[in-house]
Amino acid sequence: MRGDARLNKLALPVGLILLALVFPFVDDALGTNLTFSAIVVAVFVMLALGLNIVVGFAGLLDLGFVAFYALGAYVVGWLASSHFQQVSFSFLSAANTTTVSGVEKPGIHISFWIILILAGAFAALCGVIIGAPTLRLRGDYLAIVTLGFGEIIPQFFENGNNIFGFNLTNGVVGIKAIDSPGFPFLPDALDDWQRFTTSNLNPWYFTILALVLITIFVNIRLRDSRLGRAWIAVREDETAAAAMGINLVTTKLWAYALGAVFGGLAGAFYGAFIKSIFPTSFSFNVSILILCMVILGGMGNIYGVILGAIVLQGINFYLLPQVNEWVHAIGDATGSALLAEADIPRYNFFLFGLLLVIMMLLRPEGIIPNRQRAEELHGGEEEDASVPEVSRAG
Amino acid sequence: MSMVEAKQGGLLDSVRSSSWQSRIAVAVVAVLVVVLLFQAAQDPAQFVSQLLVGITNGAIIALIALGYTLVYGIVELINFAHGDNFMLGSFVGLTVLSGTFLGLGFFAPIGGDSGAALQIVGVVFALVAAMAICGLINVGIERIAYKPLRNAPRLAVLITAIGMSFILQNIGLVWKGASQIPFPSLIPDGNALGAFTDALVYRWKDLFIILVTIPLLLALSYFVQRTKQGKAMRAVAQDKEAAAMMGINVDRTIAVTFLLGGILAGAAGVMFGLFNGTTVFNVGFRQGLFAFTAAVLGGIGNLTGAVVGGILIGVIGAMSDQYVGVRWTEIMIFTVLILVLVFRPQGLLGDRSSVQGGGGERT
Amino acid sequence: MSRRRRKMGMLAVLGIASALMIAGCGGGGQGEGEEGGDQPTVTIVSDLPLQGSSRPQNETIVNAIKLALEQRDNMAGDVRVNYTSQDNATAQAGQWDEAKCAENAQTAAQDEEIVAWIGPFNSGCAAVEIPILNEAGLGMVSPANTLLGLTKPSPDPTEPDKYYPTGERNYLRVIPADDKQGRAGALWLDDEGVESVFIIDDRQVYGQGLADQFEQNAEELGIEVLGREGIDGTASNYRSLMTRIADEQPDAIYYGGITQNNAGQLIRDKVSIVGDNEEVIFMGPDGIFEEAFLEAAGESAEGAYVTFGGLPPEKLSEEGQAFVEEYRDTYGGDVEAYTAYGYEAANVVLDAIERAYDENGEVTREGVLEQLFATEDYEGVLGTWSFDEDGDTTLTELSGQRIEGGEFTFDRTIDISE
Repeated sequence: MRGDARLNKLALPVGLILLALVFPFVDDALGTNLTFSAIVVAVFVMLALGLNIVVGFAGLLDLGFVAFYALGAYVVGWLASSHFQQVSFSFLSAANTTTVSGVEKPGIHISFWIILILAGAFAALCGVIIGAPTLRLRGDYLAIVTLGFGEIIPQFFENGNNIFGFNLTNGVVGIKAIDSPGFPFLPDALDDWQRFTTSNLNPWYFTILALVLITIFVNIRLRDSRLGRAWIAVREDETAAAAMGINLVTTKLWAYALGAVFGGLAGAFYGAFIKSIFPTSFSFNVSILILCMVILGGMGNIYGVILGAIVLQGINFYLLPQVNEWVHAIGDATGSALLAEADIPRYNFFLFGLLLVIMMLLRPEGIIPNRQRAEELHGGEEEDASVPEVSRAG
Repeated sequence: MSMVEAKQGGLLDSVRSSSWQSRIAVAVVAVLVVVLLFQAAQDPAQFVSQLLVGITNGAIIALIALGYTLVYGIVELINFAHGDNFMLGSFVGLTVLSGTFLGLGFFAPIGGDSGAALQIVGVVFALVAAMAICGLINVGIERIAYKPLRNAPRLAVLITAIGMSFILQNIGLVWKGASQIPFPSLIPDGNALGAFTDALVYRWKDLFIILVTIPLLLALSYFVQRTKQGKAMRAVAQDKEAAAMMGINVDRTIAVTFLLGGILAGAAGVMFGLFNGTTVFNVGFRQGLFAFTAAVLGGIGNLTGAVVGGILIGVIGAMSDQYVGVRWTEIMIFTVLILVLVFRPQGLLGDRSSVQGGGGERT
Repeated sequence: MSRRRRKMGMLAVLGIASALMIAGCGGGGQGEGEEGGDQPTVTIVSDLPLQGSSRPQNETIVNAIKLALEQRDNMAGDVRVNYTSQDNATAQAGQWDEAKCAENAQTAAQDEEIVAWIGPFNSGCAAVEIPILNEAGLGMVSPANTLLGLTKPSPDPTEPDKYYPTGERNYLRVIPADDKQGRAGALWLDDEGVESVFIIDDRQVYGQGLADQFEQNAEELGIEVLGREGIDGTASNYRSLMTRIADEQPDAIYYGGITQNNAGQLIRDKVSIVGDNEEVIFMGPDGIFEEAFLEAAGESAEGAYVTFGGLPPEKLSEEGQAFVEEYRDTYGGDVEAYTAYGYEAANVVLDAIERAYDENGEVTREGVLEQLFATEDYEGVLGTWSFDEDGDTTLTELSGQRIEGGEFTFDRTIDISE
């Protein structure tokens, strides 16, 4: 019996992972061209899981998560492109370090895999620097400070083309032609893996899938750890948690730094994937979108957050563009000129907002709520909140 | 913890009990102020002109900030839709002045060449209409999107607020299009001080903003402090359940709070349009962000704090435009915000004191 | 009970939505044009941001492309041409989105039916798309990108080569790049006897790039640059900036940017604080050469100087005027600043397809690209021009307009070749 239950518990995640593994081949066979979107969605899944540590586990409202995403992206921009023309340095880079005309490329070109680690570390460091003085703020004051940083950092990248004469970020034009990742030591038969290309998306897909799986694994391990329980305690009652000997600032700082790591990793991957980064991509809107994913999916619940990211990005990238065609098709079928010529993209923002409101009204705790939080809401309020969470996701 | 003591003590106490981060923050703010004063001494006229510009811009931010702070004080919600409600306020004012709605012409457009009396009537009518409509919109939003979630997780309401903000913005976009749209120039642009001096410019427009803002603030303050409904608001802000037990209709009180916030947003919208001369569908986003920042800067829930915060942001903006550079203004504003919060985690004037009727402490 | 039912309902909604989504995706993109005999059929696509504040402008470009096709009955010579309009904006961003740009390029790269690409609108988007389409050998004609480095050497020495990983060029544009318009502006101001100027940009790729080029040319011509500032296009007003500029007492103010970044408010505050446009010249680029600017600026626009990378409609060739009229008849609204470029881009592409078929007996990406670069002495709505080897237009005659009585009035032709 017990073994069966364990097996049942594992069946869903294993099934989902298998599905994710075969997805690009099915997509290719069906010709649906969804792999690209899947990669972008996966980046947001990572971001949402990172933010989930901060908002879902530790209960800190963060309105500026985009800052870490931006930092990660700029790390890859700095270390894997010709941006710093003053120097010329390559290290294990998969990209061609010479131009078509045979001249050695200027700039820093480091292997993507090393940059990935650096980006995570750099984001964490910035998380600590930002967090240390501000995390003693309570509730929404912290939220507004994170919002402040979320506004300052992209603005800084925007203005960073002339910091006392030094071009740090290339301003609004952004950093472009970022090197592709790859495994240069692989045999030539696997040339798509030697250097990732835009024509074959599978290497990209499996890289981000691996990153997402790592993120999920870390999320689960964290949630069930001593630190995870401390976060829940802090989330439920700061004063009580402090009285129980939990160091509030350190505990919060860990949440902030670990969340930042995943933001940084996602940013680094995204920068390498799109091959260009622009300060305008890291606006307040993105912070809000990621936050919506976490809350809509179900704060603190890993499945929920993943689903939230998929649903919102799906709406944004697929559903809304399609609505126009459906309405036109309905209009053509029914002979209604009003519908056939309706200009739906004009109302997309409206529809997006409406969907957010409706989904939240229907499921206030998120699509897949965190069981413990749901109990708090529907069960008695006196319940001991620091009982470690037992979740289905384990 | 030192923070708790700091909240109860005065400024001196809080310095004494502050952490090293706070002291650094104070030092940085002090250096900024000294540098600013040094610059000011070199060209006083320029400094005063910028100060006046900042105060006027700040007054509009303050009016919007009041809406955030009222709502936050009572339901602890960052009402993201508020900025967009403000935008709709400016659109309503514009529509009233154009005299045309839904293709029906009710009266001739009121513009710069209409008679003085008609202009005054137009401005008053536009203000009243925008205040009424925005107040109702705000109440409607509360009813549809926030009230059903009153017992849901706090962040769920945040998402519906964001959703409503998108909806209002799109309504604005469809209603008036994507470009900046002009407001008729009804308030003279001339120098109000022209009779006395040429060195200093204070336009009738600036005066208009101050002349409308001050009565509104006084009326609001009177309402919250002296009327029965205002007392009910303060009671609900302090403790919903206890207030309900005392026979206060909590739902109605919350609705009234949203009504008040909407009224202020509507007034601010029309004033913004008349003052600047243009408005646009996404104007609510940036103004709303600054206003919310102002509310937090002053101490969220604190009415006086919102006004102080708003004017401070206006002045910081103007000073930064003059002495630092326009492209760094936003960074300056948010840096000051962070420094202030690090130093005084409860905002400049402490939070919720006036809505709650005293006491900066909140749990 | 009720919770469970709600859950089921939600799942059902999600299920239907995803099913429709998949159906929608699968159904799209199939060729819907009827196959007439052995007539070859190809597809061209446009890629423009069709959501948010740049929508109205881009809608007119899409209309202009449709008009160009309609005028030829969807035929480029003997080749039937299908047209797909892609959107590179997302609802959530309210503007172009780099991931959407990359995705569109990526999808098109794999669809062999597509032989030419019109767009994009934003230079940033172009930087994302060019390398992807470069590897796919797909020719692109942009109606709106003006960033110099996309085609020509710029202060960044790795430009433009870094956009072309194969080493072959595949990108052309019918709009003059920033260097031309920046120079035209500086020449005109020099001609007016301006000795000092304050430069403002809107901190976007287009506005800032243009302001950079203007600054460089102004300095070369001996105009003193008193200052340079980047504005926030969503600020409520620019009174403190103008108070500061008034203190500097420049002869002219140059604005590099677009109407949508609050140009109307900017010029209102400029007139109110610095002085009217006779006293202190206000000059802007083609980004404000549109009705929306006149409307937003109101009376403050009176006397302002506007440069344009071509000739205005009433100065255009007969062909150009015919286009403006026909556009008005077909779509009701007026043309916007970039509409004519969209129309020109579509016609250049269609001609190239026609010639490619005539020459090779088939239409391939390679053939179309070759013919695009071979476009010479093209008599279009913008005048008579060719593409140079970098894919830039050879037009050297730009126009200067002044705003008089609430209308753009042609003032002069500015020849920048001198």
